[in-house]
Amino acid sequence: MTKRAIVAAVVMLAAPSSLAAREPFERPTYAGAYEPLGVDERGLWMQMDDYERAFRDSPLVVRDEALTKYVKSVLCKTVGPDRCEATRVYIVQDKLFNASMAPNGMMQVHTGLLARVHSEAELATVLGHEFAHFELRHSLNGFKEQRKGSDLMAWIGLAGAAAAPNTGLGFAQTPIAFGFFGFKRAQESEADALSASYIKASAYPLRASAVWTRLMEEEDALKEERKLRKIRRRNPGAIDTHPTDLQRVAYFAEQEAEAGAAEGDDGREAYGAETARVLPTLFDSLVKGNEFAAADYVIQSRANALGWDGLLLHARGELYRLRGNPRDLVTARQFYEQAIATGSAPAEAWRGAGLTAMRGGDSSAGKAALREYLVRLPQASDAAAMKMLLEN
Amino acid sequence: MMNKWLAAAILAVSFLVMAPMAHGQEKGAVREGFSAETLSGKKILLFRPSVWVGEQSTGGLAEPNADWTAQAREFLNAELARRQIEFSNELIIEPDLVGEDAKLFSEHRALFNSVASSVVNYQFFAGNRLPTRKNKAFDWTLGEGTKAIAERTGAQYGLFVRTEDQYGSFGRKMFQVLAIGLVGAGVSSGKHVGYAGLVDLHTGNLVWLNADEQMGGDVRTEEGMQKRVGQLLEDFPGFKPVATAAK
Repeated sequence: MTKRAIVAAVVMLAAPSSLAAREPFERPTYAGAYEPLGVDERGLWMQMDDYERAFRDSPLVVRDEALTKYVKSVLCKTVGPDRCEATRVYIVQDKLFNASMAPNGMMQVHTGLLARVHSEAELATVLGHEFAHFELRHSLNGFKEQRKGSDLMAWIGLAGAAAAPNTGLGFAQTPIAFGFFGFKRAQESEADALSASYIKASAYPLRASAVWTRLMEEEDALKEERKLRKIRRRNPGAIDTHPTDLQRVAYFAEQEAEAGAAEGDDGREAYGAETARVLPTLFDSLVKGNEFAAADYVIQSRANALGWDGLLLHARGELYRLRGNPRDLVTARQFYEQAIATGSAPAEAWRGAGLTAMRGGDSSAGKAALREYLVRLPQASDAAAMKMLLEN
Repeated sequence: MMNKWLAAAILAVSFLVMAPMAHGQEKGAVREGFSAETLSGKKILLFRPSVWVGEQSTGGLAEPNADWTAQAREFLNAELARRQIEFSNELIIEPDLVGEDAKLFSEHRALFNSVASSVVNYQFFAGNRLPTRKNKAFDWTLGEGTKAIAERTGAQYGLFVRTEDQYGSFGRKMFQVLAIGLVGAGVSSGKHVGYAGLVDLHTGNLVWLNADEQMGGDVRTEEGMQKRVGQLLEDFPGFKPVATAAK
């Protein structure tokens, strides 16, 4: 499919936003707190309300009020302050590039997403996308579609078995199943289109294609490491739930090229400053995950965009130290020392520098660093273990 | 050829029917060394019960129903309060907490659900039962982290209750009838599962668990809920001897 055809298809799927290309996008009037209507919608809300009641106290939620407020403020600038007020934002400790929004207005933003975007405008494209699912009530429609499809499949399965065992009527189920995935993909494209419209109506420039390009590069880096074939698909597979990354890059790039779409302050500096404080939290699950090349790509791409600082260098040191090959410890020590030299390193950088130095046969420098770690963080949970190392 | 299609159809149907197989029944267990005497005079903390009520669509999809669920929750709370007199213990309701305390409760509710599901899957019912659990003592624990809950609330035991009810929709019932009539395939309609469990908060040990994969009582009505709670608390060690005898 050509780029133009992809865009045309998307525009067809998202009828309301197709106007946006010509006329300025106007958000529908916000009518205040929304109450779910009908058995299905009220049922879904009930389910999510119950889920949220437990989830809000989950240990997975990052309890950092300043960060949560900041992310919510980006959402509000994207979709408008009136409609964003009802949402509850939760930052979730998870390495994946992901966010989600439930029908009842609960938004989850993964640390893996915050680690991978480099500006408010980039974050806005994902938050806007999730909010679009919410505003277009995609969960409800998806549920209805799934029910319709599975009901139909049940009847066809029964009819096939009962009436026409030799005709292969059972195959009629396949298009229904595939149709459902097509429906899901259409919802995703629709949410992308509405997200782009939100952003065009906001003060942010549209910066979506860069996010998806980097995701493809990250995947390539991981495949390179694992010696797997790199595949960039122009068309989604039959059971894909989302458009391919390449499709998304194509239709977003097309929209970004439109006059005025890419103008405005992308909030890169503000984003760098606000997230610098919490970098260890944002990179924690990534660094501890089992995808070395991907994590290293994410760290380096943040450095390319926002520069190295003590916390980011420390995160890279941890990545290498935790993989733990003898050669990794040498590299890790360099990163820890660079982190310390910046003057903005966390206390743990001295621990890393100390441990890697001792492993590398430089025990005097190692012990000095460990002592410094204990001076800087006397309450560290591993203080006792470090003291034991110092005594030997 | 006929058989092949029949098998395919049954397979397809079995994907849709996510209800447990026919061997699901009622099972309960008490930890060794635990009895009504151990429990006597101790406070019991009732964790917020987990209630879900809805329909089952023709294809087997669970359709939540907010009204039925809210109604059932009300009936359940009323019924537990009414039965307070049958307990030999004082029942206290889970407090509404924020911050670290809320996290503590949230973690342990989730932990209990996991452990209880493991008991149900790997010890109580045939099918997935683990060789290490088959015919072995009822020995499960949440760990000593529960101690903090005992300290916060003054309760020595924690009671968990869960019910899930999917009532077969009209379409599902029709499908069930036709499936058995036309091709002889057994399709279940509706799903009614529940469990109740008691944890010693000082040790974290699971001292009593009663699980039922085919529960009775229509939880959408007051009488039905009375029957349901009766089944959930069947052989609960904490009933007054008098109340147990009266049943």
